[in-house]
Formats: sequence, C-alpha cells, structure tokens
Amino acid sequence: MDEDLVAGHLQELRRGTIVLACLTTLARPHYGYGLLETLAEAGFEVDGNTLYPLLRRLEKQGLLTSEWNTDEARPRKFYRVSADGALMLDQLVAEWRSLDRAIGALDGGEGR
Amino acid sequence: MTTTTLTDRYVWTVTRHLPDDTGPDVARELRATIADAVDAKVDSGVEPALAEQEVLSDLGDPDVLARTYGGRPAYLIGPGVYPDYVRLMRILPVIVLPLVLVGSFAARVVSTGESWGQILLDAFLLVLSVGVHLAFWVTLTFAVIEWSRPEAERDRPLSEWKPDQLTTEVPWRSVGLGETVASVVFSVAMAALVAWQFAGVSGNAVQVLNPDVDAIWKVALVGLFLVDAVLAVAVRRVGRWTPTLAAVNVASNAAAAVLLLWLLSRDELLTDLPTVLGERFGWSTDWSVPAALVAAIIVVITVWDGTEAVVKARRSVRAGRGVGAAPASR
Repeated sequence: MDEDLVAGHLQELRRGTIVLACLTTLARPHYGYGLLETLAEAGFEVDGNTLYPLLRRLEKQGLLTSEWNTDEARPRKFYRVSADGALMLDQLVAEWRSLDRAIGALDGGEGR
Repeated sequence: MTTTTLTDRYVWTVTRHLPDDTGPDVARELRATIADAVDAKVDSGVEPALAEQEVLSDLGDPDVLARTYGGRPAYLIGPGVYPDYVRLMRILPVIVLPLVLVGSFAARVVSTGESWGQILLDAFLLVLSVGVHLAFWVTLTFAVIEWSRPEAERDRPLSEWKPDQLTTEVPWRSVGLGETVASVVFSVAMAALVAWQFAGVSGNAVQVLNPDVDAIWKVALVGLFLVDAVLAVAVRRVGRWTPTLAAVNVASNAAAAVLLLWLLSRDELLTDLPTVLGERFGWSTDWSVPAALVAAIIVVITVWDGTEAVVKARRSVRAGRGVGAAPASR
C-alpha cells in the first residue's frame, strides 16, 4: 500500500492523542526537551515544533502550570498538570477507552 | 561565536512578533530547549556547529513556528469564512458591474461627444478597475475578520447555514411552460414589430426604423428574432439549455447585434427621429438621438441574453453530474 497514505492516516489518528500523552506524562514535572525525550522513549514521536507551542497552549488553557527552575546552570521551564488538567485527563482517558471499546465492538464477531 | 549567533537569530525571528507578555518567556524557553537538543546531539557524537544546524532545521521555518506560538492563522481566509466569502464574491460583481457599465455609458454618452471606441474602452477599463477593487476590498475585509477572530471560533462559520438558503433555481427542473410561452411570444412580437416597421408604416403610427434598408437585411433581422422563438421551443423540448443551444443563441444574438450596429454606424437603422416626432407631435426638432447610446443598449441586451443562456447551459451540464432527476437529453 502507499506508504504516504498510511503515514498520513496514522498521523491524523495520532494528532489528538498528543494532548493525552502530554497530560499523562506531566503528572510529574518535565521541561520541554525532557518531555520530548520521554515521549520518544515511550514510542511516541512528536516534533519539537508541535510539542513546544502545544505546551504553551495547554498552559494558557489552564490545564498545565509551569515554573522556571533556575537551580542549574541552564534555566528550564518545567510543566506539570494542574487540577483542571487532571480532570481533563480523566475525561480524555475515559473517551479513549470508550473509543477503543467501540472499535472493538464494530470489529467484534467478524474476526480479521 | 558563530554557534550562538545562529540560535540567537532563530530565537529572535520566532519571537519578534509575539506580544510582550509572552515573547521574552518563549525566547528564554526556546533558547534552553535548543541548547538541550544540541547537547543531546553532541553527546551522540555530532560536531557542535553541525548539531546546531540540524536542531534548527528540525524546528523548521521560524515564521511558521512563530505562528503556532502566537495563534495567528497562516492563511488569509480560512475554511470557516470561505463559503461566505465565495458567496459574496459571486453575488457582488454580478450586481455591481452591470450597474457600473450602464451608468458609465449613460454618463459619457449624455455629457460628451466622444467616439464610441473611446467610450467602450473607458467603460471596459472602469469595469475592470471596479472589479479589481471589489475583489480586493472584499478579500481584505474577510482577511481582517479571519485574523481578528478568537482562535477558538476560527473554524466556525460567520453565520449559521439554514436550509432555506438553498437556491430556488434548481438547474435540473424541466423548463417551465410559462418561461417558454413568454419567450416565444416576446420573440415573435419583436419580429413582427420589426417587420411592420421595415415595411413602412402609415396613419397614426410613428416610423422609427428606417424602411429604406436593403431588403436582405430586413429579412435577416426578422429571421434572427424568429430564431430566438425557435430556440425557446427547442429548449422546452430538450428540457434544458444544452451547450449547443446556448452557442446558437449567442451566435444569433451576436449576428443581430453586429448587423444592428453596422446599420447604425451607416446611419441606416433609424429614421431621423427628431424630424419624424416633430412632424407627428409638434415637438421641437432641436435634438438628436445619440448613436452611442443606442449602440450601448444593443450591446448590453446582447451580452445579457447570451450570458443567461450560457449560464443556464453550464448549470444543467453540472446538474447532469448531480442527481438522477436531471432530464435526459433526447
């Protein structure tokens, strides 16, 4: 099959899950590049130019809080999930599970 | 110090248009992020200068990144307002440009004695410049609306669409009987009127068209008017305007217009109206019929009628792709 076509659909499918992945990971504070690495290690490749602006947007929406850590030589901005963000995460995870079940139900019985 | 300069330039380009409350913070974070990424590359054995190049290449065009930070859309008119934009761009020129055309003709013909060529050229240039202005200002207005809307509303349409906005002119309906009858009656009446005038009138009637035109041109003109009647019947029978019928209509209209204009230019089309009307009603004979005005009316009517046929033919061709309700052409 056309690889570009596959890649396009996969990217489309993953797009909405970036927020889910971020909110999940940011239960513990991370700085931008650290988060990128963590996500990549977990098999969740995100481009920096997508992730960094997204963190700012989530912060602006009140789902993340941030703090500058200046203890080290290189000051870094650490993000973590806010109370609202945690509530949002619960809803997103519930939706994720229900989608998974729904897809399973559609697929169910027929086998593959 | 070239290694820092490249990052400096990149960070500056990204953040220069961001608002003051976020710009410096974004710059500081971005600088740290780039440094982290460069360090990671250097640790894995890439040369520092090259590592910086690669990191910045991965981040991509700084203006694009700036837009994702700043929330400004990277387009003039987005999908939310685009349908409204297209609708307005279709309606506005159709209403405004003919008014401009007719208005400019009327004003010039009445106020000056310039040649028609000059008047036609000026009218064309005026319509062109009004059209360009129209397109520009409508586009600018929509772009301003698009840019000033809050990010959350961006994909929403300007106005909620409702089913009663659907066009009432559904192209695949069959041609109405009323339309056909009106068209035939009008064409035959015109042909009869012209024939009667060319034959020479007597009694109380006023001779407007010149009865001394060569017989062949009289027959041609009357015949071309009758073609319109025949066309109306043909359209009714086929059920729609086909490209062929539209082409015949345009050709017959154009032929009639050219013939009329040619006769007009030779001063053979009309009688000397001031004299005729003066004799008949005792009006002053101290006026003349501006030939350019008559010519303009002929051109406008011809273009109007031809355009209508072409538009209807195009619609029914398109409709053929749409619904099965399209009447099959026999």
